[in-house]
Amino acid sequence: MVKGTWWLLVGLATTTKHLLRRAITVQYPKERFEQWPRFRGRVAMVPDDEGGHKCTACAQCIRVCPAACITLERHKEEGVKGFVVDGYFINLGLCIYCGLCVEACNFGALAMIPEYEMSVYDKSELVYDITKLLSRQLEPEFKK
Amino acid sequence: MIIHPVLSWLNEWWKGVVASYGLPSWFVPAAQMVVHAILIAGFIAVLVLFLIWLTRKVSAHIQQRFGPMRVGWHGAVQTVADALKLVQKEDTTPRSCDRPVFNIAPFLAFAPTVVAFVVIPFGDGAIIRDLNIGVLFLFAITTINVIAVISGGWASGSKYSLLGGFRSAAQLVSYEVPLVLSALGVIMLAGSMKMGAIVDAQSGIWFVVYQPLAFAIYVIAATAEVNRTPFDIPEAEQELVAGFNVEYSGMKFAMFFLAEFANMFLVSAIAATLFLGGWRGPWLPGEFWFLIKSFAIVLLLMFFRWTYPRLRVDQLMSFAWKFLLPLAFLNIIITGLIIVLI
Amino acid sequence: MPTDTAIHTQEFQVNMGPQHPSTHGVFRMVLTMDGERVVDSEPHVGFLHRSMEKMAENRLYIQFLPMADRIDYLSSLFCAAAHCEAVEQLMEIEVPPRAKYLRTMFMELNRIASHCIFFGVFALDLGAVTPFLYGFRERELTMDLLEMTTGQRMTFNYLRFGGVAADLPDSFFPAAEKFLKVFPGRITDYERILNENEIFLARTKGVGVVDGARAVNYGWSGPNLRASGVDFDLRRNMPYEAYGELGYEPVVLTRGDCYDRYLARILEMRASHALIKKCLEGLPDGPTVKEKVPKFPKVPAGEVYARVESPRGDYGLYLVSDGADKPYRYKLRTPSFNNLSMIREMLRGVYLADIVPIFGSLDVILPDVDR
Repeated sequence: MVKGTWWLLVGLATTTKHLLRRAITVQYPKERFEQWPRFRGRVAMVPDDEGGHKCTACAQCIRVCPAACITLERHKEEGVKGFVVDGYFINLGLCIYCGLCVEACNFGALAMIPEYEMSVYDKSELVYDITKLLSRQLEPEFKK
Repeated sequence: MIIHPVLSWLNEWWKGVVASYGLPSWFVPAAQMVVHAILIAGFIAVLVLFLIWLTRKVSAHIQQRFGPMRVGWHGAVQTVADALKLVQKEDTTPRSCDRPVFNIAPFLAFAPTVVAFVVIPFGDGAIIRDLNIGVLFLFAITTINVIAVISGGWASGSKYSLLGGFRSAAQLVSYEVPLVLSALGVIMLAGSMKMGAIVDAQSGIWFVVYQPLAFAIYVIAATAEVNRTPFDIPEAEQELVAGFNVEYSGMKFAMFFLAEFANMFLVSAIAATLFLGGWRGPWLPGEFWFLIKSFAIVLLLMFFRWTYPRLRVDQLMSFAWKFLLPLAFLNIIITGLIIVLI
Repeated sequence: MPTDTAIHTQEFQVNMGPQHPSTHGVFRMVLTMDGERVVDSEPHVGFLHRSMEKMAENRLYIQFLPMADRIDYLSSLFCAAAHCEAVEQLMEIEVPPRAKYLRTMFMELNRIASHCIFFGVFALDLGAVTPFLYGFRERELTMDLLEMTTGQRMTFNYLRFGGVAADLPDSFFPAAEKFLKVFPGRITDYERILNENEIFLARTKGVGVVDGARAVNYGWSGPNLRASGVDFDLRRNMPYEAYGELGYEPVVLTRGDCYDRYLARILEMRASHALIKKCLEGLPDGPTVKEKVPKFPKVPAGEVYARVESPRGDYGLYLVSDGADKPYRYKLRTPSFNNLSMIREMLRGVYLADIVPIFGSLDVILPDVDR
């Protein structure tokens, strides 16, 4: 019985010890944790030197995507080697954020950026076209 | 030191007003009763507000998080917001319920606690009525809680609430016995059941030094009386049957909730009075010492809640009857022997 | 049915429905009760069936890899490891040593994370609210390490055929040092709160006792089996990845009740911690992925059974390939399904309040059961 009481008191002491420690959570909308550089937030297109996209419409990303969320519209033009991109859409509502498309792309056109706040009121707004994929959100303030 | 002089002065002033205006003489005690009632009700209201906020903050910091932070300074107004939310909720009543009992049960849970505050000494002479049978009165009044629980469970008209109500009533009744027996040791030492006399008898050494076993038994039994972990089967969400207050919503649920917190403070105040010397203490006014000691016990109960797992129902009952009860008797016998021999 | 006592009693049925705070996932049990005791129980599974096995037949091997993570999302590296190992065995690809060590180290980190959740949820079921948050705090440490390297905190998509996806970043080593230093003290904290706590012992000692022979008959594996006294651990009996070089002695306890199952996992957390330390110290240099492995492999025809020791037990993948680039049959042997199969026997005659610790101590994850 003595041993039991002792261990009950030890449990209380451990809890009290934690009472005196600093809290480890952050107050979310006002403070945020900074993400690690490799964090797989949303898929984004990498701008080239003129600010355009680097996609060559090879469709390897579509081949590898497990969620079938990428749509590509392309056509062949006379005198141009390869395809010309008409439209490139990623449905971020279907995307599972695995990053296989980034690995599959041989031209470095895609990257995963640490953006995760993409709430919308209508699901159709989650289909990002090239312009939206090239854009980035403004930097929020971080708390480490 | 603060309350008693102020109230006495008010009383004298009112007597003077009654005499000078020629009002009937029963105006004096009537006004006294009204003032006392308002004071107690106001105290409990503010107290419960504060206690709920304190519970949330303490539990949060034990878990290394912040708790309520946005409503008011560090969430101080959070309880008011919660109360407003509960007030505007729809008051659902199950169709198969027993309507009169259903409506009364929450208030049946709350009223005895308010009444019990009549004999708690808040400071030197600051008791509303220092009854000769103070301790007995307290324990008798808090037993009405059992009726409230059973009627809450029965009136909900659902078999799960009924089972929960029965279990809760069994727990309450079983833990009454060690509770009263542990207080008996203190009464023997003080020689009286008057709360004021018990506090006076502790002017030298607090009774917790003379009666450590009784103090431990009292705290454990009190935790069971207010349905807190490790004895909170009646309100456990993880168990199958959700307890007697599952069908209540809105203000009625708020009443049960209020009653629990007020009850928690009540048993802590009784513990502070019986074992920790009531309002006695150096250089601060008695009211402050009373509050400090009561809140210390309240914090102890809170720590129990957030640290320990829950006992099973049969373990709970066997713990009360096979463990606490013999210990309480042992305590009484030893106390009696020591009093006779020394 | 009236029983033959003087008082007329009747058994009644209680539904522990798909939504319940204590069943870890969507799991339904219909209990037949006599007073406070369970007479019989009827488990209903399948609420979380996502037809993973069928989906695998329609996906390329590399396409299914992120979905394999989601079969048991709390131990996702193990599911992906089984997938990769099966493909590597069929294609006869040799994984370079650095990749093996990295896989082992991260799998042990994942095991710690899963056991932290078990610890928190088990305590929460029994009523102690605080250890839940402590468990999640430790999980944050492991998830930070995993996030630095893989990019995600839960379904990592880190393994590739022939190795791992990426090497350790520079920020990994100081963080790992800190984690290794801090973690044993934290486990001691948990043990202080729960291990010898009278109330906890009263709730879990002697409850749900399962002896070793019966456990083996029902196909148990993992810490549940080892708590019943059977000394079987894939990491020692059939070593894979780097476990052969590192050596591993499993944690075996004898009594087989809920307390032992809980204690087995706490001790396994310590053992995993020691393994991670060994891995980090002995990390060989070299490539992290085998060169020239095709991204969209055409796996030669054949069948293979790849097993890993996941935190729940023996996770097995039986892969049948017919030479195409998609699997022909992807059969999963998930440990939680077999662990859960004895629930009916275990619940006979126990108190209603004992169902929760028994079910919690099995550490069953419903997506693992239902796939």
